[in-house]
Amino acid sequence: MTSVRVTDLVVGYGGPPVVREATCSVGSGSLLAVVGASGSGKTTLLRAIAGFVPVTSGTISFDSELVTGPGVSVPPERRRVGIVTQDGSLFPHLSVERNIAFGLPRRELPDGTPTVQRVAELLDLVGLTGLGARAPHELSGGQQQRVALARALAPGPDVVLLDEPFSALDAGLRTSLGHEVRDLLRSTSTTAILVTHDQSEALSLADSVAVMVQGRIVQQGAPVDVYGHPTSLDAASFLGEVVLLPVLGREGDRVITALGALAAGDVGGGEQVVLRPEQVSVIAAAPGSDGRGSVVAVSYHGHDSLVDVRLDDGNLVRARVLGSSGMSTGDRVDVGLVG
Amino acid sequence: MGAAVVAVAVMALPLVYLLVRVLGAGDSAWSALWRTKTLDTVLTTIVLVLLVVIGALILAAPTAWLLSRTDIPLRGPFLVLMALPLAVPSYVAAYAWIAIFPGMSGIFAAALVMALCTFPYVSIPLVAVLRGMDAGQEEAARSLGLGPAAVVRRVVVPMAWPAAAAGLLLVALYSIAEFGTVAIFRVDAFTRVIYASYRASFDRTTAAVLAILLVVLALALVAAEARMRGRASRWRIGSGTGRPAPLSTLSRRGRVLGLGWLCLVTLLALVVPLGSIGYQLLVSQRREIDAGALAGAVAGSISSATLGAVVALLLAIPVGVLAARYTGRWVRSLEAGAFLGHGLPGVVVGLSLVFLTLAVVPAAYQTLAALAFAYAVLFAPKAIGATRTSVAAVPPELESVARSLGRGPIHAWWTTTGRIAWPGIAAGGLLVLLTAMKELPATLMLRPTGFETLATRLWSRTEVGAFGAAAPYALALIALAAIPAWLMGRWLTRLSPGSVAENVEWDSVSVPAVTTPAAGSKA
Repeated sequence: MTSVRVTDLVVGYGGPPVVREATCSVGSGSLLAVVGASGSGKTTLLRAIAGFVPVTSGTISFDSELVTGPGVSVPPERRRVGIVTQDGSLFPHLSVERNIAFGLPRRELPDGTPTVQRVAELLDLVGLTGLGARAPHELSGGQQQRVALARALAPGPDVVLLDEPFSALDAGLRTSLGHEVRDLLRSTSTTAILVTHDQSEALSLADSVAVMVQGRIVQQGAPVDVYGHPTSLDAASFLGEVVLLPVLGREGDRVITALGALAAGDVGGGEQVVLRPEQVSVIAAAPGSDGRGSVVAVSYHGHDSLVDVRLDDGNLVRARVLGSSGMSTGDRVDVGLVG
Repeated sequence: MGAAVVAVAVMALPLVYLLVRVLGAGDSAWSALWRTKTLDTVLTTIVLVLLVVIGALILAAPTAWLLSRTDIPLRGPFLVLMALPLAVPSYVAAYAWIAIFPGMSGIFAAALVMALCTFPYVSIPLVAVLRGMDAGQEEAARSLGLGPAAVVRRVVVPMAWPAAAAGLLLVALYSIAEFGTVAIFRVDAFTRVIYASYRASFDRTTAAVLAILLVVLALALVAAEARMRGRASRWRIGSGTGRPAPLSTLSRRGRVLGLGWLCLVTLLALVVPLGSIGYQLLVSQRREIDAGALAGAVAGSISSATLGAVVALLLAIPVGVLAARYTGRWVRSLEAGAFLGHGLPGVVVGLSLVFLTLAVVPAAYQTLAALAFAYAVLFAPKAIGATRTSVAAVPPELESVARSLGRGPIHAWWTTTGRIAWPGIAAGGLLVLLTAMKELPATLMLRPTGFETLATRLWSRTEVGAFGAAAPYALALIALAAIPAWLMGRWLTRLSPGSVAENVEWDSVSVPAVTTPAAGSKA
């Protein structure tokens, strides 16, 4: 149970910085997802936390202990972090059991538990009972990741760092294993940082989401807040579809737009407001009415559809409707706000 | 890092001393440089190298294509046979040819023999690359409207060219440094002229000047080769296994021609040398073969080469590990420095160590220690190549994981990378051992008085035309050298297509890294 705090971290591999003054934190026992496009510096951030890359400036502390800072650099083996990489990085020359036991004392743990017993417990924990004698290449991709997690958890680390651990798996497995891992980390009260480029993975698994853009953490908060109240267009558009509407006026803490008034975080100097398509409703124009705009595009995704509408005032908005929209390009529609 | 710097400094020592010596000689060095004979030597050497390179390409290209892309019968056996010429040291082949045709001499004879001994440097990487190519790229090219010939020209050749070019440069390096063959066929290329002026006079400045000139030529080749190697990443990340490129079906006539070609190459590169040696052995049955001398030479070869291999590994491991794991100008120049020895002809290292020992530690002059050191300088690059390939094949994340699990840097390296890479590193050491056993010029110059190896015995018998007495030594040398060539041929037949290209080091003699199924095989 350890909290992690990263403050103004700068990392450059001798060139321009890859991580620029990144600041984020994760509370004890909770899961932080760092989400960002590839090349945004999120893996480097993770490697800095693990102690694998030297930092230019900034600090990293575990609880109150400074592990990286001016004149301080605790070597990786003394940080008590577990890491799980994209492909698991299992030791190909060792069996599953010996992979898991790699970070454990040879015979018994300090509390007297035999190492073999601990390994068996971990195998049960990750649902691989009985597969201990296998070689890593005899396992499926998902099983390999489970072993990697068991190996990382074995020494009872303070923090587990997960670097895109599910991205090499197929979609169905990715979701189920993701939830399984989250529950596992929660049941062991392990603090964890998950790096991913998949925003739905981040939003659905994490207690807290940090959005990383070009080396900076542009926003961190609870998934609902970060998604619903983005503080920048970068953060907003990375986490999902956005609708931008000009602000026409203000009424207390509500903003007035062409579609009506709403309470919303605004970005872009107060001149624009960011909405999500599910906040926009669209219905066919009532008979006799001409509506407020016409449909310019419809895309169907199965569980929902996105409808792009060109408003008569020239603004383009996007609405999400459940299932099929029943609309087609050119239809006249009425558009409003939900909630 | 520190260890690597020391290792490279030690390896560069002989060359640096040679330079100092030449610069110190002043005027006499200049006059030695501007003799007309020097120009003759340069031209002779360049023509010889070009002839060998062309010959090797002519021998290698059709062979590689037949063995990698067609359904030619007996492919497996021929793959092994086509690697075996590497096991015939070219001076042994030269001896074998001249034993049949005592009148053979001159530049064409030397070029033919060397090309026959070195073409596998080109054909082996070519086979590996041609077989390793993913069918996807060629299919993509076909679907984009290219005919089969255009696919070869625009896809296959450009993709295979770096491997072939690197192999050809190795051939060039080999032929520029080769001493025995050149001497046997009386071609006045650098090595022979240097050795002759070293033997002939006590003023060895001429030899030193020529040696420096030879080093310059060799270094130019090394630089060209390094450029060819490119900076391709040496381990695979996450990609699936490709499908092997399809084999062309040969017509009846194609099969006859193809088999005929392979048999011809086998005849010239293997049957003639081995047959000649066998014949000499049979004939010399009548005379007495000196078993005691043979045993002494075997012991001499093994002891000096083993010592050399140990020293070479000590020098190679720090450099190889560094080169596999780090890039950047610093590391690259360090690695380039370490590869100097790879371009240094044995005659140059021999000469410079003669100077160095006499001037600095006379006690070491013509001792086993000096000889072992010469072997290490000459052949450490082979061990560096093997170390680098083996280490690079281990994903660096494994070490990261081991460290996060509480192991210190050295312990983490030893239990992951070191543990997985050691067979490759050991193979590199074995390679140095076997190569050192074949070394001739440095051995001639540095061996303790009365110390004989297989190579020196063969040389002294051939020099006096005692072909029969030389035969047992020739046979022993081939038998020793056949081991790595045989292993490599076997490895090639087992190669799984798709996973190949990145394991083929530019120095084709270095042995594949890991046999443990590594990260690439994931679902």
